Amino acid sequence: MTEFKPGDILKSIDGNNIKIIRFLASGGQGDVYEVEYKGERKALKWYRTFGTNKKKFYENLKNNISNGSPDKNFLWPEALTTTINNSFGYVMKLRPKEYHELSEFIIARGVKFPSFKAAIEVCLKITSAFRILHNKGYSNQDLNDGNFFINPDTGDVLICDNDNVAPNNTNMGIIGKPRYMAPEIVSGHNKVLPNTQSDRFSLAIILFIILCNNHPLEGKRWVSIPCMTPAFAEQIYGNNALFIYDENDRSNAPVDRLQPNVALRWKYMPDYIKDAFKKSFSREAILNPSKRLRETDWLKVLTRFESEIVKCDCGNEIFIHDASDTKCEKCGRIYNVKHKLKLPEYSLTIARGTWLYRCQLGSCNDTEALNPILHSVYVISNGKKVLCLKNEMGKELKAITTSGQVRMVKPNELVPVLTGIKFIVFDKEIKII
Amino acid sequence: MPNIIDTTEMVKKVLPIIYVLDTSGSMSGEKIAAVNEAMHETVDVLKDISEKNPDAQVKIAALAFSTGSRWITSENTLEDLEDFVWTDLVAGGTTDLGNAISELDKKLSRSELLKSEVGFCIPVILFLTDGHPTDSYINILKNANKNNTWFRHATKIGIAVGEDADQEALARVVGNSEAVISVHDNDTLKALIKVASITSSMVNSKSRTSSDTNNAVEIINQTMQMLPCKGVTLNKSSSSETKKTDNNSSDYTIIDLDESNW
Amino acid sequence: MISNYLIFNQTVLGNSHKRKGLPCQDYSLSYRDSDGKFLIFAVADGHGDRRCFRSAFGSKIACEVLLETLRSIVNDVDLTFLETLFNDKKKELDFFYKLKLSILNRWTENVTNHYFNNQISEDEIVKFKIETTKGLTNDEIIKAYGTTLLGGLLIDGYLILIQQGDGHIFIFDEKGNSFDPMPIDKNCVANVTTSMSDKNALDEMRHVLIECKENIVACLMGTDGVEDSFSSLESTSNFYSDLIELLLNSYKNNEDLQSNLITNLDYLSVNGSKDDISVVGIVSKSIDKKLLAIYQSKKEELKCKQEINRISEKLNSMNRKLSFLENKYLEAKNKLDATSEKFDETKNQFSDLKKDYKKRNTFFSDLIRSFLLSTYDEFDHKYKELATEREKNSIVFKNAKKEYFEYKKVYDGLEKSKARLEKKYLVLTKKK
Repeated sequence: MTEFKPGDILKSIDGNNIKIIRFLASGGQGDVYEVEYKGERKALKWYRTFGTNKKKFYENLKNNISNGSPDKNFLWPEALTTTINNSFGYVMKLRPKEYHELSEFIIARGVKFPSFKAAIEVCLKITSAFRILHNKGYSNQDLNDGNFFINPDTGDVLICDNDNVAPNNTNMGIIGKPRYMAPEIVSGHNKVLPNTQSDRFSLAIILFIILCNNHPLEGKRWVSIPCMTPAFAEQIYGNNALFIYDENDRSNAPVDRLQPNVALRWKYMPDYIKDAFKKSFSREAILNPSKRLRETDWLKVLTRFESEIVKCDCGNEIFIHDASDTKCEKCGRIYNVKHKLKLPEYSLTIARGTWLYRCQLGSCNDTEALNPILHSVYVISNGKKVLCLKNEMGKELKAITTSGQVRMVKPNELVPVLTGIKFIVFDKEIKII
Repeated sequence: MPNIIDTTEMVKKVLPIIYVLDTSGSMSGEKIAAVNEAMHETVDVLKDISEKNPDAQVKIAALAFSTGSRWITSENTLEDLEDFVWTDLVAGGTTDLGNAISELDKKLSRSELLKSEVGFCIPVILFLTDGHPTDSYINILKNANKNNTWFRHATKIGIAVGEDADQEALARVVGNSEAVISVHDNDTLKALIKVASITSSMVNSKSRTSSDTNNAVEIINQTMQMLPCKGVTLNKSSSSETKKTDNNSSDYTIIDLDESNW
Repeated sequence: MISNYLIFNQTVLGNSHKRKGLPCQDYSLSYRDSDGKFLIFAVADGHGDRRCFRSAFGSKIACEVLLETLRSIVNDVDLTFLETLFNDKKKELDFFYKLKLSILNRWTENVTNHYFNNQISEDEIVKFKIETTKGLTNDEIIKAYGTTLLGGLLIDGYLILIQQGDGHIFIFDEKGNSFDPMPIDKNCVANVTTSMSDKNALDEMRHVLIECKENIVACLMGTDGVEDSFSSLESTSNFYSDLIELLLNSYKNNEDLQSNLITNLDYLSVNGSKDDISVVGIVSKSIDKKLLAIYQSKKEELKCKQEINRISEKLNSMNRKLSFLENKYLEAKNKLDATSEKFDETKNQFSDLKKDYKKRNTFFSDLIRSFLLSTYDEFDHKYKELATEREKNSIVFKNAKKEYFEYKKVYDGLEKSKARLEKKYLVLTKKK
């Protein structure tokens, strides 16, 4: 029995009409309808149940609406409704049809990522959005696989279910979804409440799931449990949790026959990614929230990883090892790394479609982390194919030619990839070698 | 005391052997005569052997295809060996293999040919052709494999008659290039049909897991052993196909890049 | 409630295995909790393939693992929990996913341990023709123990059933109907089955949760040695309803259930599938005479229907040959008639000629006489030829006629039987 029928009209608190078009779906806390608001088709979420404090929740929602969305990737509440029958709701944008829930990608039977690179781009977008959220002072508190909607063709991410987003250390009574909650929340038995640190643990879980196709805490220990009672759940996801690839303790390693995918993926992960995960899920990080990787740390390793994935002529994706020639495991051809871009912390392979982002040069502001600097493209010049770097900064870029001359590269101008050319960006020098 | 003994039935599972025979124009003359003779002799031999087979009861179906396809045996049921008479085939027309496959897809079901009360062993299908398919059979084949479990699991063997036979097509249809035998003279063709039928009828009906699909190859191997060597070649798996690379098909921007500036 | 159910299990060695000296590859068990709170039953069929040379152990381990795993969860699955599961599909899927994962994991671990603790013996090498030159890979080890598994748990008015592989579970309700509650496994067709040793066993394994009020009077299942002894699921169902009666009678009369079961299952193997046979199940003591009578009448109906179908099939199979023989017969008849006609015509012509010759014999000159003689010879020759041909055709015709009419007699006889049985079937089904 839904509260509203098609044709019903509600009002928002600023006096606008909200007309019900049809019922869409039922969620954990409420129902979602398609509505018409200010002449556009939107979605309305109407609550059926509330957490601990309805009034507090209402005020928080009101605040969030007036503060506006922290980033374009968030599906944020736009207007609050008046109270009817002791309940209320809010209006937000409709989720476009091409977007699929993250959980559909994990089952891998419905939708798939078109390539591994695409999966990493999704990780980058998710991490970046959260960095912005946290730095605006919010914490999500309910990060899980149901919050993310991904367009498999473009790689765009929409973050939904922002109902419980609240200023850090303020809580609406929701503690999260099982399997995605930080260990201290699970073992805290409702006494420890979520905050940005616990968000970070949930973020790490989501990144691991996207990249390795398995939950980071679900290995042999988890497999042997026939029935996941709360007691067992606490053992697996609480303070006693153990990473499946923990350096010191292999007792929760994946069971080959029943979990074959994760071993394959893990084998191909570069060391710095493995280290990042090992650190995020180390016993230390499980017990001490401050030891967890911050969003910037993730952005750094993910952008590096993205640039190290190139496409072989046979169609297979190759993970370049150490910016040097790597063999394709599928067809056996060697991928020649002809040019590298020497960055302050490591060297980047210059392949077709490589991107260089702001965060790869060192620390920066959250909003600038994924600002593009350079992008490699192939063009035809004088009848032959030339690899060039395009200035994506949107402003002039200082470069030094092979003969030592200084040149200013205009926005969108192309620089041929030749050994010896240097760029000076944000006081850092990067060189083509 | 209930009579369980009453309800017990003596049951021999049915083993369907289905012949799918090319009767196109190119088969006319000696080739079709060889096939006809082979079928006459085969039926006789099968009758003898099947009586002594404790595991299975052999039943026959035969489908001829040239321009279109038509069932030689009943369209409603598989025929018992004692009811099977071979009426000589006449050759003429094209080679509509796709039509034959779609007919198989239609009829291989428990509401059509496989209507028996008795349980079934995996059917054996013998495909015989001397030319190239003249209709589009690939999608039909895909659908049959996807939608029809009997077709998909059936043990399929291909007999390629003469040099002009499309062995690749046969290999695709039977799902395994090692399950295709080529013959080049009529005597061997006769012997082959006979021996292949006999070997197929003795295929063991042990319970296997769904990942085992060696029956066709086993039948072929046993058949090869029983045949005179001349005139028969076995298809070995073809070398790995050269994969077409999905190379840089996007359009490039053509510009005038003066590299000397750099 | 639980105490209201009888529980049993029985396995017999297959007739074909007995002859070949192979071990029994089936296994079954049944368990009644000492506090009377739950019942567990399991049955497993080890694969007969040559590569599955340890499947007898595989099936035993599978049943034991199922028992162990189900026993470990009985304290966590109380009535409230089960009710939630029953009403929430996602929670149900999550629960069963975990359960199956745990079962498969334990089975894999146990069979692997068994392999490493028990070297392949000389006996096994001979019996199963194992090539010992190369060691087994992990996959081959697991495959060697390959088996199906069916079983379940009855607790707090709910029946939890798990199945991997072929075989059918029969649930009988209070109206005398039986059905298989499991979703279909598309990969089990003819004699192909999915297995505990499959790589994607976790996806293939099926489950069902049944609310078990007074309407469920029995749940029985067996290995395919049972079903392969029957031509259809309906026959198999009748077999199980007979077993139900057997069980209840043995219980009421305090007879030795086990020896009764063994006798019947042995007979089934010898005369039916020849395979190993196992059955397990639970039967409610509340089944009354009325229900048993329904089972009986179903048996009769089925027998009748099966006979009708068998005859129909045979008639279909005979149709083509019948037409073929009829044509042959008619052709032979026409040929014979044509020959006879020609023969008679020639005969008459010949006799006319003979008469004519006699008449004119005395008056003709030598020349005319010799001419008439040669014509006479010609006719004589032709006459003799036609006579032989006619005789030949007559034999062919006689044979064709015999073959056709004999075949037709069988055919007509079958048609009559079919009509008779159809009438009988109408009567039986109307009785309902």
